[in-house]
Amino acid sequence: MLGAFGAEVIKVEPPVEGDPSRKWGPFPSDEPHPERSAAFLYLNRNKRGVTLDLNREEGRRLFLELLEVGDAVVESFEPGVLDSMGLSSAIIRKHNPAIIVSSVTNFGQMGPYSHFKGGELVLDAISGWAQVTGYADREPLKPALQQAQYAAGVNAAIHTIAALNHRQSSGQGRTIDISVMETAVHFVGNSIGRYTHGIGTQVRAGNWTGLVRGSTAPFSHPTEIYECQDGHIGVAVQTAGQWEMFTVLVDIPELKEDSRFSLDYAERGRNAVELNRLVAPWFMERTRKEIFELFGEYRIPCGMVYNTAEIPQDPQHRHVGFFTDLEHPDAGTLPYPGSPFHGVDFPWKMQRAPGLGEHNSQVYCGLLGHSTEELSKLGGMEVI
Amino acid sequence: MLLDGVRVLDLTYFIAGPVGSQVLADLGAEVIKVEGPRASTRMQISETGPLDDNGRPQIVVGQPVFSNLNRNKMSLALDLTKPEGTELFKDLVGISDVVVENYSLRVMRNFGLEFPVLEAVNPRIIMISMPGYGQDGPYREYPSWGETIESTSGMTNLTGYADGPPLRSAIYMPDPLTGMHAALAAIVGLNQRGATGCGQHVTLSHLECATQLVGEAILDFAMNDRIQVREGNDHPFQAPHGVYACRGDDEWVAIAVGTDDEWRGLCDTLGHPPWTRTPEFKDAFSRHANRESLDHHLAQWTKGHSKHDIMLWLQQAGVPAGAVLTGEDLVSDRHLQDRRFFWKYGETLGEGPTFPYAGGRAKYEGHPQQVHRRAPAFGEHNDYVLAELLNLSRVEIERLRELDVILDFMPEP
Repeated sequence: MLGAFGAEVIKVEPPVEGDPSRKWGPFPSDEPHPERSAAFLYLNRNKRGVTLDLNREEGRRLFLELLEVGDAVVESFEPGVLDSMGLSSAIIRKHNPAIIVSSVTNFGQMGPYSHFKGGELVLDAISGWAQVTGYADREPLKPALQQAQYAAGVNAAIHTIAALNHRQSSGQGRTIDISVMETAVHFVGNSIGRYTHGIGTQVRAGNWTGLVRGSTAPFSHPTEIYECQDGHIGVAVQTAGQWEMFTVLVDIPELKEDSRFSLDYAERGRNAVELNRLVAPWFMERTRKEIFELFGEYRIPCGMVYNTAEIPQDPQHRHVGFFTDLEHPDAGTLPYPGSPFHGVDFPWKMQRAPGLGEHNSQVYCGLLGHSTEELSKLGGMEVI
Repeated sequence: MLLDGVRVLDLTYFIAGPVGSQVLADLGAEVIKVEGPRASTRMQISETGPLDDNGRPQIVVGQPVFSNLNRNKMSLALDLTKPEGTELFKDLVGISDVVVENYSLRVMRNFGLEFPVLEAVNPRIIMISMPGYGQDGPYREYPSWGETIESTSGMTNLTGYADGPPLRSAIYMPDPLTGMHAALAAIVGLNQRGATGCGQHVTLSHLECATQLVGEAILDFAMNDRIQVREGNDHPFQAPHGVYACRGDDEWVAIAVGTDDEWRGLCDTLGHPPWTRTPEFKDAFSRHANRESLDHHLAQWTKGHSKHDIMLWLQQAGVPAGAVLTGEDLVSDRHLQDRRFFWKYGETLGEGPTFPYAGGRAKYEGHPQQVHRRAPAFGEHNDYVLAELLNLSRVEIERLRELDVILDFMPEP
């Protein structure tokens, strides 16, 4: 994100192997290739790439030179790894007192879990997110993909840029500790609040909202995903106005007459099963698009359940030109999600991810002033 | 604090917007929540708890969500549907840095408070808007909640058990995510203003924020025409990778073995029972191919122990494992307590008990972040804003009260 906003981001990767995400894929035709991993390509746009072995003294010296021209260091090693390389945040800030050091780790720099191993599944479990995702009578469920880790990255961008802003007036560097677990615990604020306020322990409730242990009634209804003619559609009716309009549109007499389905959202929640039974056929008779446009026009929140093939084809994305094709010499031309920010003067860059060591000469010679002979010597020693 | 001296006018409600202004408030910005005579902005909920002794559902009334998301903010109760209200708002824009709002598109227009109007008052003002689908395109007037954006982003279709229907993530992920993006937009806007001296209007789309999280899966489709499907807790090549029942009721632990070293750590912890030595599980490939059988064996072991013991034993052996924590577990979790993660403060009104809430989103070495203020009561800071910030006289303030432009009590719905 810092790169997208126009910062010059230099990604420092270990020589030969590079960033582990170069091995994650998915790859075109499932053939592993370090320049074709979707995870790497997606998460490393807008960066220049250099290789550097931080475990070697020559590598460490080059890194100290980079620190002198740098404004911020963003790192996600396990706590203690930078220290073992002689590059603790204290040493970094001693070398350049005005630098911002942002560490983004699974559990943070200190505390009893700081050396625990993570991964998205473990983080979703320990942050309380998996406990409330899925069905009550089945195992807790990991939300798809890497959402907690992605959010921690956004969080790190917020704090890093805020610290850079503050530095403009104060001249002060900072050492910032971001924990993926804590970023994700914020997401279950409702679950914590339900416990602390005596409502109960929130349990998994499928697509319903806010069910607590010992209760059968969700917070409100219909907050549901309904099957329709050509797939599924997500609906979330909460306010009184939305409910009244919903009853007009689906036009089922019981919904208007029966006091179980009143303007009181909690009362509707207590009768969720019966409500679903009544409205399910209405959804089955219609397509997602038909329902989405009808509900949209009459201001009822809903959304088509899209698969990954359908997302880029959505009329909204196409109108805005949200997806941007980027050419890559090894991976080909691929559509990447564009900026979620819209403003005449707001920055957003879209440049493909760097090859392994692609900008070594640009950075070490151009930026730091080393000779090409030095560069090839360092290359021969596999320092870069 | 990083945002000391930054003043934010906060026209947000529900979740996404308040998360954005909460991030700014926690970093030290002076956030003035501008509330109108609409009960829904306070998110006073009555919620159905467990059945009581007579089999009747207990109704619990509270404001945990509001109290959580609106700490460190002040409240000015101002009716923006009245001309005197919008004039006062413009006066505030003149002495503020950021306006953040999450109304649907037409609301600020109807107030007569679109960006060009605010910019004319204060060319340095940064305005952040966050309608569900952005300011353009066929869906721009459509309403949305986090739950429905999650569907259209593609995330819902990927979340769920392999044999089940699409499932939501239960936390309306697009809401907090968009809130974080809103804070980011404000901070980038402040950064740019430092160089240009100019404010700007940034509109962000919940749908586009949420779609960022699906990027790699979309690239997979572009590369391979492959539509990724729901996989429950499975991993494309790691096993065991799942959530296993432990001793007790609804107690679970997540275990994710990626490397051979981690597999050996798991076997060491289990004491090398015979099944771990069978050819079925001899290497990573076999373990993944036979993961159902592996899960079955592993679950036999996990069900005899507590989730916390299993987590600790496995982590000590270098195996990624995490207890599935409940809200109750989280507030007493020793790691979070050691990090002083939770902040304790009271409910909006009165001198009642305090509750723990998720604290600052980052730790700053040598600069402890601390909560200063519980969430404000409706209009609690009317006098501060009117008298101290805008230098209005007692007489003027009384006149505004009589006109119901300034409110001291939330009107009955």
